This record gives sequence, C-alpha cells and structure tokens, in this order.
Amino acid sequence: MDFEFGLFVKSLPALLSGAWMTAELSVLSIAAGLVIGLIGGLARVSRVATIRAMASVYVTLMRAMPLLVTLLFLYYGLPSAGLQLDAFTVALLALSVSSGAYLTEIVRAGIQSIDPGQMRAARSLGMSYGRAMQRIILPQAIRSVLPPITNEAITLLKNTSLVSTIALTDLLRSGLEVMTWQANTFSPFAGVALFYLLMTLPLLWLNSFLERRMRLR
Amino acid sequence: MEKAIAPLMVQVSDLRKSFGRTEVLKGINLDVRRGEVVTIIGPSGSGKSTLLSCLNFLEPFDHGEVLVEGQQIGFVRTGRMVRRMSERELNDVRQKIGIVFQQYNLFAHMTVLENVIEAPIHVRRMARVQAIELARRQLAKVGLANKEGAYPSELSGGQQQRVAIARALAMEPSVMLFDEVTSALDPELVGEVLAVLRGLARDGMTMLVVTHEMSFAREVSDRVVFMDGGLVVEEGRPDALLMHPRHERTKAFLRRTLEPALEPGAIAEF
Ligand SMILES: Nc1ncnc2c1ncn2[C@@H]1O[C@H](COP(=O)(O)OP(=O)(O)O)[C@@H](O)[C@H]1O
Ligand SMILES: [Mg+2]
Repeated sequence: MDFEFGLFVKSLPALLSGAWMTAELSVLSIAAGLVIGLIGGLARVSRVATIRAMASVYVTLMRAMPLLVTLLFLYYGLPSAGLQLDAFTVALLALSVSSGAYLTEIVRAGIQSIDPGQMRAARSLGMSYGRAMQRIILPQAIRSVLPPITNEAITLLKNTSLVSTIALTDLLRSGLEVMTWQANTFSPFAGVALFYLLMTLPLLWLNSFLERRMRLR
Repeated sequence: MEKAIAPLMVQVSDLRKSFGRTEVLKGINLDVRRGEVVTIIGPSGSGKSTLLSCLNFLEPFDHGEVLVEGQQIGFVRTGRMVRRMSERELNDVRQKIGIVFQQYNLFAHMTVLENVIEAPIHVRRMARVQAIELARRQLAKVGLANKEGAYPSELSGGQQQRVAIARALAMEPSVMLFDEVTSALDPELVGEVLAVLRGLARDGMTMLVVTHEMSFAREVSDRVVFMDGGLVVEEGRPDALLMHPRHERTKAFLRRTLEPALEPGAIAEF
C-alpha cells in the first residue's frame, strides 16, 4: 500500500469540499458556543440561585455525555419528538451546545479570576451589577479567557469529524468516500490529515501566542 | 468649631448584622455630623469593615437603621411597612457615600483618568468633557495631576490609593468612608495618603476613618470611636479617649497598639 501522488492529487477536490464543510461547521458552532458560553458563564455566577443551578445542570449534563451520543440522540431523537431538522442543523446544534458547556466553564473561571474587590469598588460607585460586569469585570476577564477559548476551538474543530456518522460529508467523510472508489487507502487519507493539520495549526499558533502574551503581564 | 451643632450627616441606630450564625455587628449606634471627622479604632475582627460596608449597603444588614443626610439606606420605611430598596434606589443612594478600601481596587484595565471618569460618565451621566474636567480637579487635589495617562500597575501603592480617593471624590459624595487605607502601604508611603486625608478634613469633608494610625486619630479627628466584638465600647474626643480611656477593653487595646512606639529606638508615633 504505497503512497501514490497521482491518487492523492485526484482526491483533492473532494477533500477540499469536505474541508469546507468542516470549517463551516467549526466556525458557526464556535460562534454559537461563544454566545451560549457568555450567557452560561454569567448565569454560573448569578446572584439568583435558580439560575446558577440551571446553568450548572446544563454544564454537568453536557460534560458527562460523549459528543457522539449527543449527536446521535438529537439526530434520531428529535424526529420522534416531531422536530424534523436536516443533518447540518443537527450537527450545528450538537456541536454548539456541547462546546457551549465548556465555554460556559471557561467564562465562569475567567470572571472568577477577577478580584472581587473590582466588583465591590464598581458597586460602591453606584454602578449597577450589569454595568459593572460589562465595563469592569468582562474586559479584564477577556485576557485570561482567550487562550482556553482557542483551545476549545481546536477541540471543536477536531470533534466535527464525528458528524460523518450522520451522513454529513465533512472532511473525514469525504476521505472515506474517496477511499471507496480508490483501491489505495493511504493516499486520500494523507490528504485528510493534511487538511486537518492546515486548519488546526493556525489555531495552535494563535493559542501559544495568546498564552505567551498572558504570561507577560 | 460649631461641628457639634452641625446637622447630622450619618445616623446609625441599633445596626445588627450576622454572617450565617455569627453576629458580627451587635447593635451599633453612631451619629456623625456634617464636617465631622470620626476615626474608628479597634482590634482586627471587631466589625469595623463590616460596619462601613453596611453604611452603603454593599453588605446588607439584618436589623436597625442607617440614615445618610436623613435618607434611609437599604430599607425604606413607609408607615408600618418596611421594604428593601430596589437595585436602582441603592445605586442612587450609594453615590452619596464614597468608600476607599485597604486594597485600592483600581480598575486595572483603565488609565488613571479613565478610572476617575468612569462613574461620573456611566453613573452620573455627565458629559465626557465635563467628567474629565472634574476628574482633573480631583487628581490635582490628591497630587496626581501628572499621572492621568498611567495604568494602575505603573503606580506605587501610595499613588494608587490616592487615585482611589480621587475616584471616590469624583462622585461628589456627602460623606467619605476610609477602611484602613494605609494598611497595605510601605511605611514610607503612608504619609502621602494621610496628607490627602488631612486636606479633605480641612476642606470640611465628613469622614469616617477606620485606621491604626493613632497619630492621625489624635491630630485630625474630632472624635474617636473604639469598637470591639461588634459593639461601640467607648467614644469621645481624641485626647480623652486615647489618653484616658475609661473601659478596660479600650485600655488593653491601646496598650497593645501603642507599646511598640514607646520602646526606645522606635519611631515616636504618639
Ligand atoms: N463575608 C464574610 N463572611 C463571613 N464572615 C465574615 C465576612 N466578613 C467578615 N466576617 C467576619 O466578621 C468579623 C468582623 O470582620 P471585619 O468587619 O472585617 O472586622 P475588622 O474590619 O474590624 O477587622 C470577623 O470575625 C470576620 O471573620
Ligand atoms: Mg477590616
């Protein structure tokens, strides 16, 4: 089973379109996950116990569940609940709620890393809780939160490969499909690995850049 | 001085506060008149910080009443009904009460000027130019007119604490609370912060000052309050209280606090 450059090149167009699907899913679900994470993180530190509890249940549930199970659960479960969604939407949903849980914890940790004295000072000046969060706490939390967010983005990108189980032609799936019409299994997969690498490497660099910058101050 | 007949600025009556099952304030009564400087002394854990935090309801109290300029703080009594103030009402009344903490708590991501204009713009809804003008006046008052572009991390502790004072003053409060504002400072930086407090006292600011600086208590304050175990044990004119305390607990505390200064070779603090 040798590496054949010709086959590798021939598989590229199919892989490219798969890579596009993977990138699309990653970008959309990290964006949705960030929105969930911000809301969830604020809920985790809320002064209202019920809100804290709800956020905590969500996070625990999502962290306890394998992403593949969540994905299949939504894919097969939602139709029986009368909700017909296409595979792409289901994938987006599963990836978003899953990464949303991890991002919730990242945002919570970021908020809690800020000295409580900052909030006390803001409130003593007559600022509302919401404004103090927005103007004082969150802008400071951002610094410490960026590196773990890029980390989560990398994890998410790699996890998108699971959507190949629900008939979405992502990068992995397109590799598998090329494999079935080519006798040589290795050549297209070299392409799959290469594309994953090309997409994750910039994020890894960004991550180490942000971590280095964090340590500088 | 006609401070003794000036109108009451702060009235605290039977203030009680518990954390869980521990009662930390056990019925505090305290009046402060306009322009008066009152220092609060007492051993660590006696409830001094908690008392200051209750005055602007940063720490909600359980029982009693706090009035600032005659206005109730935290709870509003109408007839026989008592209700807790809404967040918005609290944000409003807190503007009357400036507080400065031991840890300066400057907003670390903002320059000195931004720290000082933040609340005037976003709480008092001042125009930015006006807020900057006001902030520069306050920064000049604390001797930091030339530092407005600096970040807190670039300043010494004493400078940071003076910015914190300017930030509180920019809300133009009716009364200022100081909670051990020199305790975190290197000894050589204590003086510059105390000088700012002296200046404020001279300008007629009503001040409640929790401090271990006995010389400050003696020279600047109109009245000294000794707290222990969540109660005001004794209060009086500085000379009377510091030199001739009546209560055993006050005597013991002062003996412990003043002793090092009386030893030969130590800096005479008293
Ligand atoms: N947030 C809190 N939770 C529980 N106990 C507290 C809290 N803040 C203060 N205390 C307790 O209340 C008592 C008084 O504290 P404090 O007001 O800080 O005293 P002081 O400022 O005079 O040193 C202490 O015993 C302290 O442990
Ligand atoms: Mg204290």
